[in-house]
Amino acid sequence: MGDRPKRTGKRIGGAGILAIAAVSLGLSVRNGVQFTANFVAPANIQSSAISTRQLECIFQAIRKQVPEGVTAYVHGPTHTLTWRMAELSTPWLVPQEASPPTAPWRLSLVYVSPHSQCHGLALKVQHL
Amino acid sequence: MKAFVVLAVGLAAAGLLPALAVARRPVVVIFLAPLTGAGLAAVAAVIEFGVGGTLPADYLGVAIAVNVAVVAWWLTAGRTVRPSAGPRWWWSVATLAVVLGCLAIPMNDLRVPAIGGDPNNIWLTHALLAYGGHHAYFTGLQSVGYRFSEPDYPPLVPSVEALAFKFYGLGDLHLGVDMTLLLTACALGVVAAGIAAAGVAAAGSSERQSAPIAGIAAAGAICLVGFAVAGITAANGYTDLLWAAAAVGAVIWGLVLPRGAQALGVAWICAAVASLTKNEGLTTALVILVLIALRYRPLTLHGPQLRGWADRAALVLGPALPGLAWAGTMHLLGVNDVFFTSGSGQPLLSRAAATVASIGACLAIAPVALAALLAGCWFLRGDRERARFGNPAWLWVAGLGSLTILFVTYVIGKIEIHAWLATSVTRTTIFAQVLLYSDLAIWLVIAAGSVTEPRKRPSETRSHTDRSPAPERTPPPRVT
Repeated sequence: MGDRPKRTGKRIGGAGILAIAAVSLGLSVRNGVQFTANFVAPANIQSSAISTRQLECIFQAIRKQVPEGVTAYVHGPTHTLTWRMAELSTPWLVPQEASPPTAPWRLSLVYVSPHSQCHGLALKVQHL
Repeated sequence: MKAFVVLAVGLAAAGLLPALAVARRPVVVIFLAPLTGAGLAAVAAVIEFGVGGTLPADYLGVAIAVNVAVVAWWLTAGRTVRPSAGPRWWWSVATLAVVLGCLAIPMNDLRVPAIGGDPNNIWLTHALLAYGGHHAYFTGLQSVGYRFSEPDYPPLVPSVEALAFKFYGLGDLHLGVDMTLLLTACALGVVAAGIAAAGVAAAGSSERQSAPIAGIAAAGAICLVGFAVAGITAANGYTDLLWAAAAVGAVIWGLVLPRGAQALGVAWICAAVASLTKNEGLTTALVILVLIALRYRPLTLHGPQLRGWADRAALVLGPALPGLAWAGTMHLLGVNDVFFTSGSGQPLLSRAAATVASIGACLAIAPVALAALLAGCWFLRGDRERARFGNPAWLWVAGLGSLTILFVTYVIGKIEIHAWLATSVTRTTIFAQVLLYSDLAIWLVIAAGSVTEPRKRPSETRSHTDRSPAPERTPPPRVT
């Protein structure tokens, strides 16, 4: 093959690669920008803020109502909320999930009215 | 705003000198310094867990020791603080402006105070344990009460989040997610700086600016592509894009860009960050480090065999040491995650079939990347060799190696496979996806340089086979 056809072929091949790569990257960029636009929608900001404020409210309630360093049995109405209790009591106290509970303190989360306490959740503390 | 202050004062300040000593290129140093600081914080967390003390004290000790060592090395090696001879100033300014501008778009996600499931269960829990000091951290990760939090996961993200809480207190729990998002942006910034540098390398001594300009555009694009691939998981505090971007950074700097001590140093830091972020980051980093060792110390290299293998072992173990130390400590203490501790009783074949289907569905970009690879090898091989880039096989082997480990993990794991895949496969394949997009970006840069190449006079034209010698055959640089 002569040099000129080879060079032409190379340019066509290069242009093809350029087009494939640019279109693929461009489509993905478009998806990313669209995702961010949807994610920062006011409704999403508001609902996320409520969830995070709920966590922070329980976090602060544990530190106000239970002395530091004690061992406490933690419990929630769901598995996830039990884990959340263990997480939010860290490192203030030593969470225990054993059943039957043997720790002198019992902390549980209960559902309440959405407008009371921690946006629909309340911390219930028992000292045996 | 608080997270930016912690990133700049808490992490970048500690990592600036080591990053500067390693990279000596202004664009990449800006993104590498906070990542280096995060790596130092992770090492401090390993010390806090295994030896004692509190995270701030251990971090201060590690940061001072590393910075003193860097200054001593700099002075004894007689090096200057001037940046290395690199591309023109306008290129650095333009690259920085485009990359920061593109990263600013996903940073809008910081406005949403969302904390995802794993960021709560795993990262915030571990951060609070690290925040509590040695006793809380050491006993907590071994406690049954925290078994839900995958206690063997590495300490980079918890240590960074705990440092942020030490700065500003525990009043704002979303600060941890903010820190993860900013570190992820830095990791993508390192990838972007590598792709932009590829544009300069592709241009070589040519006066044509098409390749450098295409490199800058592709660098900006890859920042947005990374966040697009990860979607919601990057926005609400998952760390999968962080380790994936760091690992892709290690591939771009260690296996794609021309060999050199600076590129190797950047790749090492990226690999160390990936290995300290998640367990799959550690396994992927080990694959990448082995490939880097083979690229820098090829098996065909002349000289004493023993010395060669010792060099290769050092190239792998040096940056992986903190991650391996953490994994080894967890193994010795019998701390495991849930993936291998219970039984699902599913046949391996059905697990394998489900895994292949799910991973395949996430890799829609793979056929496009493969087509670009084949076309690139056919049409642009000479341009790639002239730019002294690594063989594209390095990148693909790194990606396939990571996917193989992922496949084996899913097949031999004990969790019910469909539930496991449904909750994780879009995150565990982020590395492979971003890697394939990065490969496309590299081919784009090479093609941009090629299609605008000026027509040569007949005396200057040569065939594919008699172009300048392949740089991979030149002796590798001395690693200091």
